[in-house]
This record gives sequence, C-alpha cells and structure tokens, in this order.
Amino acid sequence: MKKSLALILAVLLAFSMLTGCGSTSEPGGNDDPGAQSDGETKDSVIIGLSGEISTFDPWDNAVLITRYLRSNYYEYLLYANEQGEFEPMIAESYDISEDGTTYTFHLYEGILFHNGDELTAEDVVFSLEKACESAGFANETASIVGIEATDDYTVEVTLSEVNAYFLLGVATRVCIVNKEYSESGENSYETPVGTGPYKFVSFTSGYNLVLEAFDQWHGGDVPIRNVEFRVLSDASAAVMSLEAGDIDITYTVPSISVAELQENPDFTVSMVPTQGSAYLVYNTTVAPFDDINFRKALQYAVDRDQIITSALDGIGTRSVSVWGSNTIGYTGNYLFPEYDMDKAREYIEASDYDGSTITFIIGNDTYRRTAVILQSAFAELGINVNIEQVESNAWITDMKNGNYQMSLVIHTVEPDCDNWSTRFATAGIGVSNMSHLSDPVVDAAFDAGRATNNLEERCEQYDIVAQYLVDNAIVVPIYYRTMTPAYSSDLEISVFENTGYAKAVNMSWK
Amino acid sequence: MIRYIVKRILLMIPVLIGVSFIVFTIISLTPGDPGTIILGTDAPLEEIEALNEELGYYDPLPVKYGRWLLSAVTGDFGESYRTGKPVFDEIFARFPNTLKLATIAIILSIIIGVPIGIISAVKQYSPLDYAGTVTALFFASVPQFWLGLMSLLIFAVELKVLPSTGNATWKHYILPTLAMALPCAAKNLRLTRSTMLEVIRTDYVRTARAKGVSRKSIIWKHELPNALMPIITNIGINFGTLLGGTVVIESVFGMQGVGTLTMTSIRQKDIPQVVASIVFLALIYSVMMLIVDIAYAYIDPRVKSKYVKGASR
Repeated sequence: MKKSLALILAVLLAFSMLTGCGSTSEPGGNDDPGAQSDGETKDSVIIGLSGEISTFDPWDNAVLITRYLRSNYYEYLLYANEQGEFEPMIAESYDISEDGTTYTFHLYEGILFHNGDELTAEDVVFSLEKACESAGFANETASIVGIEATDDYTVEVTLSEVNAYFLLGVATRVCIVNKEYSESGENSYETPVGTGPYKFVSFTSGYNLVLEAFDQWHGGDVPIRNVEFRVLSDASAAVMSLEAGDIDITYTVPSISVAELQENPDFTVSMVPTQGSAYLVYNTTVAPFDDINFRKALQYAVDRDQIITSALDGIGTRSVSVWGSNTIGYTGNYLFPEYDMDKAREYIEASDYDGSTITFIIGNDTYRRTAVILQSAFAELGINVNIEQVESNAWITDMKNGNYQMSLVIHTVEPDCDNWSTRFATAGIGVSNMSHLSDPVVDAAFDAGRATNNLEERCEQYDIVAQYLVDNAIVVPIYYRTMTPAYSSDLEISVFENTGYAKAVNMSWK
Repeated sequence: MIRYIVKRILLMIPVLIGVSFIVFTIISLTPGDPGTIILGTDAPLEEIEALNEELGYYDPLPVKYGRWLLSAVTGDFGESYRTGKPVFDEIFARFPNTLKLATIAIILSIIIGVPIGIISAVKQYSPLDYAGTVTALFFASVPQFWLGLMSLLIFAVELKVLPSTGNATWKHYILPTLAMALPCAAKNLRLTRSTMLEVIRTDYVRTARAKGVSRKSIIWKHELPNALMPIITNIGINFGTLLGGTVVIESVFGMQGVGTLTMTSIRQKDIPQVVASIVFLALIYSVMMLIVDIAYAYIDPRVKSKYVKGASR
C-alpha cells in the first residue's frame, strides 16, 4: 500500500514539475515588452472567428463571415471604399453608356491567379454568368441581359433597364474565379484559387482556415505573410485567448469585457460603426398596428439614449433614420422624431387601442435587454407587452409570413437605399418585408430610384420613401450596431470594412 | 458468448431506428424551411420554394422519414444543408478530435479518481478521506463551462503557463482534457469509495482478514475486483458521454468536435446533419455499452458462467 501511494505521489510530483517547467521558461517573455520583437518582425496573424466556416461556394451570398473570409483570397471587379466611391480592383476602369444600360469594364493586364494562370475577360464572363444562375445573387443580377468579352481585357455587361444598384450589388460583390480551374472538378471551390493577396493553404472544418501571402499579387507586397482564422465560438474564451496571446484579434467581445480591455494598454478596442440598422418592427396589417395613432405613440415612446446606455453598455450609435448617413440616397431631410412621452400619450389617447396584450417576439438573447426597456416604456402608455423568445428560424419564418405582432431586428445592408426595397416594397412581402407594407407610393419611389444613375434624382425618390416611413411610423429606428473588435496593441489595422471586419491585407505589425 | 454479442449487435438496429425516428420527427416539427436556411432570408421567394420542392419539404412527415430511412439503409445519409457535403464527411472530420480528447480525459479520470477513491475507503474518516471527498464534491458539482473558463483564466491568462486555444502541441490538450476529466474523476472517486466500503464490510473480507491474509493482498485480490463492476459501468457511461462531445469544452477551447457540430447543426436546422450526428452518437454509445457488458464477463466469473451455461444448453 505504501508503495502504491508513493507511486501516485511521484506521478503527481512529476506532473507538477512539468507544468512548473513551463512557468519558469515563459514569464520573461510576457513581462518584458522588448523580448517579443527579437530583432525580427512578426509576420503572421491569428484571427478569432465566432462562427463556423460553412461553405467555400463563391456565389453563396448569405453568410457575412463567408463573405469576409473570401475577400482575402478572391477579388471583385471594383471595390467600394468607406466613402462609397468605387476604386479599381480587377477592373482598372469602367464606362457607362449614355442610356445607362451598358457597363464596359477595362481589366488590368497581367493579373495572375494563385495557380499561375493569367486572368482574362473569359474568367470574368464565367464568374458573372455563374452569379446570374445562382440563387444568392438572383436579386442583384435580375436586370442583366448580356455578358460579353469584347477582347481579352474588356467585358461588356448589358442591362435590360437602368439599375443604379448594379455596381454595388454585382461589381463589388461577385468573386472573380478562374474559369478553367473551376471547371476542372466539381469540388474545386473547396480549395479556392483566386487573385487576392492571400492564397489558400488548408482548412480544418470547425477549427481553422490558413492562408499565406501570394507573392505575385498584383497589388504588391503585403506586411502579413501568414494568416490563420480560428473558430472560437465562445466569446469569453476568445477574449481570454487574446489576453493569453494565443490569438491576435477577436471580433466578438462581450460588452462587459470592452471596458476592461480598453483599460489594458496591451490591447486596442476599435469602435467600428456598421451598416447594421436596429429597429422596432411590427406587422402593419394587424390590429392595433394598423392604426396610425397607435404606431405614432410607439414612435415617441422609444428612448434611444436609455437603450444605448442600459441595454448596449454604451456601444451603439443612436439612429433617427432607417438608413445610415453613409448610405447612397441618404439626405437627412426626413428624420424620425425624438423621445417624447407627452406626445406619445396624446397619440395613444387618439388611438383605438383596446388594452389587449401584445406579443413581442425576439429571436435571440441579444435583443432581450432592449426589449425589456421598450416593454416598460410601453407599459407607461398602458400598453401591455409580453416578451417571448422564439427559436431563431421560427422567428424569421413568423415575421416573413406576417404571423407576429411586434419584434426587433437588425438589418445589415449594402450602403445603398435600393437595398431597403426588399424591406418596404410590395415585392418583398413574404421575403424580407417584415412590416408587410404595401403602398404604391413607396413601390414607385423605389422603382424610380433604381432606374436612374443620377444621384440627385435618386435622393429625391428615397426622400419620398423616408418621408412616408416617418409620417406613417412604419418602423422605429433605434440604433446602428457598433462592432468592437479587440486586438493586440502592436497590430495596426488601417481599414475596417462596414461589416466590422478587417481584411488581412490591411493589417501590419508595428 | 459470441451468440450473445451478435444478439446485442442486432438489438442495436431497432435502437438506432427509434433514435432516428424521434430526432427526425422533433426537428421536422420545428418551424423553418430548408430553402430559407440554404439560400438566406433575402433570397427570392420562388427560388426558396423551388428548392423546398426539390428537397421534398412539402411532403408529409412519414413520407419524408421513409425516404430518409430507405436511403440511410443504403448508406446515403444525405447532404448537409449548411455545407452541401455528405453529412458523414463532416462527422468523420471531427470525430478524431473528440476521440482524442475523450480518450485522454477518461484515462485521466481513472488515474485520478480510482486510486484516491480506494485510499479514501481504506482510510475512512481520515484527513485524507475528508480532503478527497470534499474535493470530489466540488468537482462533481461545478458546471463544466465554469471549470473551463476558470482554468483558462488562471493557467493561460494569469500564470501564462499553458496555451489557451488551438491544438498544435501536447500542452494544448492539458486544460481541455483536465476540464473534461475532473468531473468524471470526482464521480469515479465517489463511486470507488462507496463500493469499496460496501465490499470491505462483507463476510469474505472478514474471513480473509481472520485467516491472516495481508492487508495489501486483501485490497488488491479480494476487495478491488469485487468493487470494480459499478466502476466499470460508470467509466463506460462516462466514455460514451465524452465521445458524444462536450459542447462546452469544445467551444471554450476552440477544439471543435462532434458535440459542437451537432449544436451548430441544430441551431441552423440542418436536418440531415442533426439526424446523422445523433444516430452516430447513439451508435457509439451502444457500442460502448456493449463493450462494458463484455468486460463484465471477463471480470466477474458469475456473469461469465451465465453465458457459458446458456451456450451449452
């Protein structure tokens, strides 16, 4: 017995010595800032991702994370910068015909794919044609009637009518793939070959995606040579990983950890405004929401400042317009009214509301705190609200089918007002028009806004929509979502995309 | 013995069919259609409906299940809605991860739990016993996510002695496997202690002691073998559960295995993936239980004699 006890103790001792060894070898490196850069500069970065990587299909348009990842190894014809201007990417320049229906893209010569093939107009035609066939780009490509390579470096795209959303929806969104390589095998997309700054190295499902710099990239040298995207679905664990130095960036920081990280000089937390617009939405076809006075009462009862302070821990930008100020078509002429309980009471008295209980459905826990604040504000008006959390698929299906009363959504769109037509035009009913709004004035304005490339004329049309939404209180915008990526202070990130993510090409170590 | 094993393997078939039917029914009754899940909420309605039609979403449930069962029998479990690839590709890609974690964890839980359990029982009411049982009570009660996050906080963030996430070196496995092993070890400890205490009080142990057998010999030859049965059952159950994937540990340490795969699929209502994953886990669990039963026969002569008699009759 004594022998076996001694054996156990010896094993335990050996184990503690092993871990002890680790502790003596490392502290110097962490406490001493000079030790990290031993003369050579770090050239790799590990990026934490909260969601799993599901697909490499270049024409899958649904998942934000997929779109972010592929922006590192694929490229588009054009790139839309933060100001909403189009910069050259694969296309050096483009012309629009006088009637606005034909786009001619002049491609750069000598762009190479990761496998060494040169990019030609054929590849662009193939990529766009594939996009036209795919369901993910069905809305964006609906007006395309012809795609033609007029020579090796020129592509002409003909539209059936003027479509102001074409450049943003197609030219900056459709990945340009290698035609020959894509046709070589059914699963060739699993190991993507693009023209982007990084090429594919390996992918381990549920664990990571590894990329490395592409030496012949037409954009020149990149400071970061090796990139690893690592799936860390637990946000708190991801923050700890960052603190432990095992990853360099995490995009999802729980709001309670933001302040703590901000105080730590080793880390930087950026506040990145996104295109995500959060608003209160209700089915305008059912009682009591079919009553404009009732809707107006809700509109005045939303205290945006309180929601941002209490529900979002101060992380968010208050919004009084459905679309943000950087959206093409935004004028700021028609804004939603501010919080005013007296006015809200006037409207509720003028309404036909009978005191019935309203069910407020939320699709996930992130909306709960905001919903609770709204619930108590509405209670002051004598409106009984019952918050119900439903499974997220059920939530979306119910809203699509109009099988709900009130909810809260965050809608992330490309920065062009045309993108909002799916939310408010009649054609969007059953798809994304959760308000179930059907009004010829709004429909006509969206159609007219799309049918011209003249910005002034477009703004006029979207003003009509904005005014309609405000006057009729179709929704109540509350805030724009702010992303809070946290990263090592030694890492410099020059540009964040409007989704809150940063491309690896825009990163460098100090 | 072989007849018994074959019978047990055949019995797994109705179990698996039952499991698949229940899972298939439950997930089919939840709202949400595959077309929207695959194409996204902003896709045009016609496209979504066409895809739903193609996937047979509008057929009645028995038809859907029958179709699934028929193709499953031929080995075709369908393709994931999320990735578009055969469901077992994803399961097999992740299972090695789960297997590695579970195997290390179960070995650790035995190494830690059983010996301390024996010591606690042999030295009942000694300070060693109290220390062991209190620690066991603690680890058996704390939730796994707390254990995982706390160990990360202490060893990776504060002390910086172990890496937090990733799977590059053996050091990466220490925290996740310990976080998985300690609750199991605590259960092993408590179980070993209580069954040993029972055995210590039996007549044959008293007889052995009376005839002057050494204490060591009593523990190893008389007490432990007789106390092992429930411990082995417990280890088998634990191993089956760990192989099912511990979602919490997997997501905290960024080592995605079958558990997180199942969770992600459930959240995204990826029906073929959910059903296949759960059927697979049920199969693993059944196989584990079978191995436990066979192990009984080798450890306990009483059980073995039953099979031998049954076969000779």
